[in-house]
Amino acid sequence: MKSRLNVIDNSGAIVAECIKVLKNAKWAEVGDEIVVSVKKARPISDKTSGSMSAAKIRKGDVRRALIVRTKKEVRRPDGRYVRFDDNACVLLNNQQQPLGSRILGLVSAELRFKNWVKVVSLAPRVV
Amino acid sequence: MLRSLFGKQTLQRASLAARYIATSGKQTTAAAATYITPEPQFPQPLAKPEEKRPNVMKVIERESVARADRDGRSELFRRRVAPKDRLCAGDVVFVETQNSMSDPSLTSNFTGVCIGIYRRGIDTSFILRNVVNKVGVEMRFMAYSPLVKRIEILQKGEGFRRAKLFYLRENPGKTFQLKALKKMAQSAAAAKKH
Repeated sequence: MKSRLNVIDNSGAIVAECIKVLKNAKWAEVGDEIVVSVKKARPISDKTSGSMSAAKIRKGDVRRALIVRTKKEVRRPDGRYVRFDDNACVLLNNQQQPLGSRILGLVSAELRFKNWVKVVSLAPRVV
Repeated sequence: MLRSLFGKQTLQRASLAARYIATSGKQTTAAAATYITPEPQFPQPLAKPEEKRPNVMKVIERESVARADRDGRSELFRRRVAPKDRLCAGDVVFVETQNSMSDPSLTSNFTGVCIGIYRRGIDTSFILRNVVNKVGVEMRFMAYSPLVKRIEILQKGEGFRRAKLFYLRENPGKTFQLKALKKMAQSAAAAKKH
């Protein structure tokens, strides 16, 4: 079973499953891009389709995502370790821009070090 | 022959280094006088009176902690200190960290319940856990890191009968309802700035 992550933007996806790590490594960390398959998504009703100009995310969609929180602790250069209670991601398009317009929840400050400026600016809280 | 292989400078430095490690302050050669040998920070090794033959590694550990203990934070991690003065599992702790050595004024704060203390001499660390935006966050701080500016106990924990409170990850109860302490944390953050 591949890792499942909570999707914490407003793109419509709720749970995504990692199917590929987009770097030459076995594991991806916070700040790494991965390819996910959406396992659970919010139902798309006709009411919302008019207001949202962004792409509709359905269950089964294969998208790129950025890991923003991991349950596995990440080491900071000063010796600090940060760990969250879940694994979370934010969906991206092929140009590495976030698909959703808002991020709901905490993200890790490693994103700042890995130059994901747009995601960090959208996040309500960065730890 | 050795001289031609290693060069005059290296040999002199090596002999000087050997002398420095031996802690004797005598500098007999003229060449040695051109190097500035710093005074040893601890003229006597930090050994306890009852240690007839002090263990080198223990002495080094004590000296490195004494050197890193700039503001008396080692008192928080000593075992033979009254519970109200030392850090215990269950205490609410506020930590202010510098983000980089180049700019001391850029700091970030973290408040949380201490769920574990790892006493390892200079590598002493502790884990703080808090629930931020409905997500549990744990941060492990190295106690003697120069980037950790301040460690303050905001509230002593009561009723915690374990050294490691990892059970709080599943059964937090009311432990992380720290809203009342948010104000204490903010005042602690503001206090040092003024």
